[in-house]
Amino acid sequence: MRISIQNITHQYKGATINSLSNLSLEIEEGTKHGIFGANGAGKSTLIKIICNVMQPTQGEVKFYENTRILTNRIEVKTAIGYVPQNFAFYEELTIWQNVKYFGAMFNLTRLEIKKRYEELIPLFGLENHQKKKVKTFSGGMKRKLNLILGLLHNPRVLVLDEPIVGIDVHSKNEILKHLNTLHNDGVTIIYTSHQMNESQSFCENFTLLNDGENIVTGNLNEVLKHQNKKDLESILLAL
Amino acid sequence: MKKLKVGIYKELLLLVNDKVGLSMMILLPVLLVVIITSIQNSAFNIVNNNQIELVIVNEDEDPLSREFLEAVNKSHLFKIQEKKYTFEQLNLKISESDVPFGLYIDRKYTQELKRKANFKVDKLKFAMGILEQKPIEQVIDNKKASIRLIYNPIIQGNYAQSVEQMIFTLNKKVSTGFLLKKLSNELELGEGAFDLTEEQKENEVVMQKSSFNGEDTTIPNASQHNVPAWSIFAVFFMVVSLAGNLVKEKVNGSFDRVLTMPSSIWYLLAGKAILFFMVSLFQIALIFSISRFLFQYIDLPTLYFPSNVWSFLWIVMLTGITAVNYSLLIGVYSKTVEQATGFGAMSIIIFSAIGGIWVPSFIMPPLLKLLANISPLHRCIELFYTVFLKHGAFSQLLFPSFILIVMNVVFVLLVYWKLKKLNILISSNS
Repeated sequence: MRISIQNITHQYKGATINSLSNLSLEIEEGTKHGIFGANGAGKSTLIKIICNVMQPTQGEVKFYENTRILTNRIEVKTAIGYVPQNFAFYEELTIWQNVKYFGAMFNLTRLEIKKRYEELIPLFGLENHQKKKVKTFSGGMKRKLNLILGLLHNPRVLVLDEPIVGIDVHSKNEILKHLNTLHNDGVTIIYTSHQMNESQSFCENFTLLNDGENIVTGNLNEVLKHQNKKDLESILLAL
Repeated sequence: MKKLKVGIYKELLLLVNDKVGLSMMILLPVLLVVIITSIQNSAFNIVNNNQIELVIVNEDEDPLSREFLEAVNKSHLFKIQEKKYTFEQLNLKISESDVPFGLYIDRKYTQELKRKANFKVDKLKFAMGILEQKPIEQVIDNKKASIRLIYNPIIQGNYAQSVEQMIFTLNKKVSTGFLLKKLSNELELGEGAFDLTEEQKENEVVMQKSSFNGEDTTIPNASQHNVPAWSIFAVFFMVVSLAGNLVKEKVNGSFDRVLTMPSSIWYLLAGKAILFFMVSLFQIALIFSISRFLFQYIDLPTLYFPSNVWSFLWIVMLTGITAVNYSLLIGVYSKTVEQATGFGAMSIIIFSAIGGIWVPSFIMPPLLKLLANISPLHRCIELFYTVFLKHGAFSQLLFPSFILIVMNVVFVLLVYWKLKKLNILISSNS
């Protein structure tokens, strides 16, 4: 699925400046697209607009299935898997209870939910923790569950907001490995992170945001050349 | 429907796992109702049922003082100890002991009472032309009144005044009785011709509480007042759990996650609303059942249910719905859990205070009486009192119900407006 972001502007209520200014961007189907920038650059706002959590003040986001534009909201929502930065689930419940609730919200049948649960839990190594409440989990396990909940409905686009922040190296590598597997299966991945080394090695294309504007979009070489820097971290430090 | 069922089940699991929230909604209200009813019942008993301890010193040995003491005794309001003290000793005794009141009857009590009666009769006879010379009353030193009530300073002023009124009334009864007898004799009305004393008895006040059906004779007890009032307070206290829960979901991103799904945010809100509405019904059922069936075992007055079951169900449901909508309103407008729980709890305390939950609205100053109208708890207690204390028919519930329904509509519209302002409704339209 290809995503076309066209002239998006967004301003939060009460703010004097735009969080996103006339931003346009093309995300190609089946790519791993990194969106990076300093704090307050507009990454999370852009992600929320792509995922339909927020509405832009101006502009629009179009989703293309080959050449067909998806206009049906349910069709778009079913295609996207959103993994927010926060642990967006119920820590007082078990994995199964969370999966059951969010699965139902995705319109999955009980059978489909159970099937996905049985596929995903061993894949992320959580099979020994099924009866525990999520609040007893480590940060890494919670990140995995956050990802699992975004994958329940087999999305064709996965939008990840800081998916590896605050976790140990082992969990980080595991998550990135799973994301690569999904990419190999044809899932389009939109990824934001402050961890530039991982982003640089994980993503294929990059968009550099600064003060809500798209500074540059391209592959690693094009971005580095445009900014005249040797790596992404240097670009971020220079912003 | 499946989404709604799953949503309700999720809310139930969250509630069951939230031990503190659960105890706040189930255990604490029961304790609150028991404690407040016990306190009020005790106060009620002190004023209405318990006999007030009274030490009496009677220096007057004439029949009229005996008659007065008999009236005091027959009133059953006092537990009397007669002592042979001087006035100073009695004063000291009341100051030193736990006995709240002392009554000193001066040795000139009868003499003084007779003198006053004679003067009044003479005055009347003079007015009627029977007596030629106008009677002259002697100047009396008020500081040496023939009856003196001494009270312990720890007794509240209004309570002491109530006792003073009781003594005054009993004394008045004796003096008026004597005056009427004297008058009857002086005017030579003859025995049985016109018994003025009996006339006096006929004028005694008969007390009856008001009720819409005009038939109810049961006397309201502390439970009839307190159980509905504090149950309403407990139901509205769900704001801490419901609003706090909602804000937690907004803050941790579960709300956002639902917005990205082919689902509506209304499922999330409706799941919460339905579960908490059921909790409110359970709270009232539990508290009322305990009050009806268990209070008698802990020496508290039993709660009597109204005969109109449908009216009762209607007001219980309306109370639950109002509490849910108010809690959703607080949850939607709050930005942090602290805001939701802090503001939510404080607002309920304030609404209950001005709404007549703690003390009846009619004794409040005019400004607070006016403010009571904006309290949803006030509207709910009005409905409960109409059904529980006044035995009103369903038609008597219509106007207060209408006001409460308008309040609910306002709450829902405010929730809708806020969600629309946040673009949440657009995002969640599936």
